[in-house]
Amino acid sequence: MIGILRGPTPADQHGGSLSHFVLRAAVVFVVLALLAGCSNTGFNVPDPVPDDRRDIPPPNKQKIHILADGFDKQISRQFGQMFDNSRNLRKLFGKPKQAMNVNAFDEIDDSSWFTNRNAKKQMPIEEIKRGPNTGGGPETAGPWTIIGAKTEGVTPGFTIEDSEGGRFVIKFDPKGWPEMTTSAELISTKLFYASGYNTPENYLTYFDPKILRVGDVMIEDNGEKRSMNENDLRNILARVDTARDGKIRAVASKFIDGKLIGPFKYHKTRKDDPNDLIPHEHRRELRGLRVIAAWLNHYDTKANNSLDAYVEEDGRRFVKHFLIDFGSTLGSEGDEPKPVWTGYENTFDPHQVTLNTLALGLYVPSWEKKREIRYRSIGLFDSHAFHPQKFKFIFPNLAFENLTKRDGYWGAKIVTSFTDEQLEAAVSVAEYSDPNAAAYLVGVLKERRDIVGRYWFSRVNTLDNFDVADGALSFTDLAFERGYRAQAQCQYTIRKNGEIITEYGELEELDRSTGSLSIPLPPSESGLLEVRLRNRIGDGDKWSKWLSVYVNTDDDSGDYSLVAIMRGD
Amino acid sequence: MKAQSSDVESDEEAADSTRASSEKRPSRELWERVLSFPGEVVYFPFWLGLTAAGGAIALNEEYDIDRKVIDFLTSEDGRLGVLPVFEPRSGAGAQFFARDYLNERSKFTATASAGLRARQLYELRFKRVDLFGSLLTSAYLVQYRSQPDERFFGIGPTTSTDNESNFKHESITGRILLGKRFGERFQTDLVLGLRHNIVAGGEDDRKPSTTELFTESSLPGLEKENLMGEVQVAFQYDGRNRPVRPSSGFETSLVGGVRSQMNNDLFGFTVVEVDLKTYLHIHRARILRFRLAGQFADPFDDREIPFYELSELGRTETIRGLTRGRFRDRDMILGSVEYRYPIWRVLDAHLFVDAGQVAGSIFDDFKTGDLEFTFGGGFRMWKRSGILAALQLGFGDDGVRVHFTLN
Repeated sequence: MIGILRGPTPADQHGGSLSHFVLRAAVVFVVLALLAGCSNTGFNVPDPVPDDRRDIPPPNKQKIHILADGFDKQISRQFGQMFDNSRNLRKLFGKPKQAMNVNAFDEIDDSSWFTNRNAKKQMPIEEIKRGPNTGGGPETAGPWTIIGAKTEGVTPGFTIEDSEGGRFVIKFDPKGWPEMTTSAELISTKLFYASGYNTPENYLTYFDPKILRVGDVMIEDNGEKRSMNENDLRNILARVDTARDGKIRAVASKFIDGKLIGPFKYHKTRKDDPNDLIPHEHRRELRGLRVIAAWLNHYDTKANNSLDAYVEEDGRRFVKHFLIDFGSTLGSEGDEPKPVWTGYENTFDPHQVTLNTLALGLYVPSWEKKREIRYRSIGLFDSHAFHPQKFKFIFPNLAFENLTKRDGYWGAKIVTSFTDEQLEAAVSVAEYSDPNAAAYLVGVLKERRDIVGRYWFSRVNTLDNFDVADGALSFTDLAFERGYRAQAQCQYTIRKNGEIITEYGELEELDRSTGSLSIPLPPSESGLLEVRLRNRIGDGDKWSKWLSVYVNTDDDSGDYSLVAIMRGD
Repeated sequence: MKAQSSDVESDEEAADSTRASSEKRPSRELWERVLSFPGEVVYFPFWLGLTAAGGAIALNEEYDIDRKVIDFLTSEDGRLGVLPVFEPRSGAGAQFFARDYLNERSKFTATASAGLRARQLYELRFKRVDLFGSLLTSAYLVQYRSQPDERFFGIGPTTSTDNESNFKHESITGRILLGKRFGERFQTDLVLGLRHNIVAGGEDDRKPSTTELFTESSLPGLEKENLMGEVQVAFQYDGRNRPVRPSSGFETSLVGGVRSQMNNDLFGFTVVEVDLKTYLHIHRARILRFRLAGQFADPFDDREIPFYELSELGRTETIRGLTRGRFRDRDMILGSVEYRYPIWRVLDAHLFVDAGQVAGSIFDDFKTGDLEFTFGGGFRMWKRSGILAALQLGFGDDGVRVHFTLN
């Protein structure tokens, strides 16, 4: 859906009558429609998306079956995509479907899904450390009453109510891997939150097991439901890592406020949420999550590691969308270190299995080699063979698969917005007993961040942070500013009402400390100015695609204002 | 004005030419839907099947059906239960099992299965029963098997598929095994057994019956009931680095035995079997397995070997590209090279070349030109406790043979 500010495009002129054409005519039309976008002299901005935090009635609880979801994503939809002609044609012509919830500046507005945080404005160190937390975690002096438990499975845990009535999910480190899972949970919470996503409040806590009281809890035992007893509690605690002083290190994850209505899907919309207007696979923040999740080795991005809550904020009740469960990020797999294949293969990967079969074992992928666990408190986490675009998740994710270069750039802007100091602050919340482990983790996060930056910033026009003031258009080259290019160099052309005023002006910046690049705009007259810009990207002299910045002049004041930015993909 | 999302206009400001629609946005535009329609028509039957499969998985997850079925079929402690079984040779059926009933690791199974043309198997089996404390282990088997369409191509290394016939073979077997383990790697067994054989005309009408082509005098063992006694001694050495997916070491077995007719003195012979396998680790779970094996049967003076007791090339554990029973004679040797490589975490692929020959006396009559070569490949799914399933395709002069086993 494209809203036209300045006359209809050829594509739209044809779009309404397409259903009358026969198939051949449709194909010809589609090809023309796809090509038409390249020669469009006007500019298109996506339809504005209304605030999705409007008051709505409570939706129903939704359940997603993990195995069925995996089958759907890995088998059914992958197979179905082979027959999706429009998708295949878009691929063929390099005209991917762009995210639907971006604004005129190719950014997304704050919503129930996402809040612009660190990439918009550098968060102070204290805010990074605090993350989503609003309090101090569970009270460890008084008794904790167990009100829910998971006794089976590889990752035991339970839910408690502390002496002050606070409810928390308690998560542990697996035996023999001290600090590993709890640290991953804490650090990733801070980084995902600072990136802009909604996350639970997760607190690091050390508690004496003597404060635990078994409440009225039903557990599953070989498929049968029965009351939990002290023996079950002992069995859970026997499987978790204990500190030397007898206390147990854990993450206390505070219950999310509101009515929990199950996970969200990475495709389609929720039928019973009138605010949920954009198909999830076309949401920028879900597509771009791929870049951030790859950075943090968040392999397990299945739907069930998300959660929708019907919340009340500022007197409005709406659905808020959370990412949860970060125990399987960084070097941790929850109950063990990350296996070597994580990030390189889906859990079941028919494509990779076929390739491996045909390769006859003669090809040994680089990720199989030279990898070691340096610290048990971190698990397997390195930057060796990390590729931000080839990173594979637990199973294919429809939103991730729709990622375009613009989405990737958006995600990379967030990843590279984290400074070294901010990463150190995020890692410090894990309170690693070994400072070398903490330093190693910070080092790997930096390396992976820079790999993400170098990759995405060498694929798109990286001119950003546009501003008009004092008769000039100023901007920065993010690749240069963040250290992924040695110098910023760009060309620009200014057009007014279709007429070229300046052609191939050149700008260059060698010193990051001097700030942004600036183009003087022609004397104020009413009308719309188009400033087309391209810059050098990557390590060499390759030019990016053109980017257009539209500047309007106010009839009364004569001031310039930015109207839109059209970034090529 | 700075281009940051925080400064982006409110709905009213943005809507100078369009209004913020509260309609759900379609994921595909009209032209995309039109263009995709033909593909969707083609995909529809697949969609139905995949949706049904996905629904079944969801249903199973929702109601925990597989667990409930297993709970229904097994006791609470998992020591007693009934499981479905399948084997191409004897068909599908059920197996009752009881674990640890006499001593730890002991197992009792009762199996009944049936397949095409009334193939049948009924079996009682006791495994790993300790004797004299744990000085000796023992195993016991009572089995009835009926194979109505066993194949016969003649005797010798040059038989043709044009001469294929089939016969019915019923057998009742009783067997006792006494074993002694020496350390982790060495095991010796003594086997005492009785088998009652009944051979008759084959029931596969597509091929002639062996009884129509041969007589009792031209083919010893045909149309004759007999009761064979068996005494066998086996020595096994397992030097592999691990029992599942071994990557180095070797294993060998040497079996020597005597089989003699108990109700008459027509049949009697000795059998010696040798099997040597060695594993060579090439690189990162890429393994080469070499195998040499032989079976040598030698009749007593003035006695014969029933044709169905002859050494055979064509069983799964011999040459994988041959039809079952393809070559029979007194002696058999085979060699095999198998290359194994991982293709997934619990799935290995392999390629193999098998070669072998039967002969009346392999040491005197071996001819390079009579060697049968087959090749092929397959997959093995495994877990730490063993191989779960294997699918192998063998290609030879006679066509393709598929081997599937499920544990």
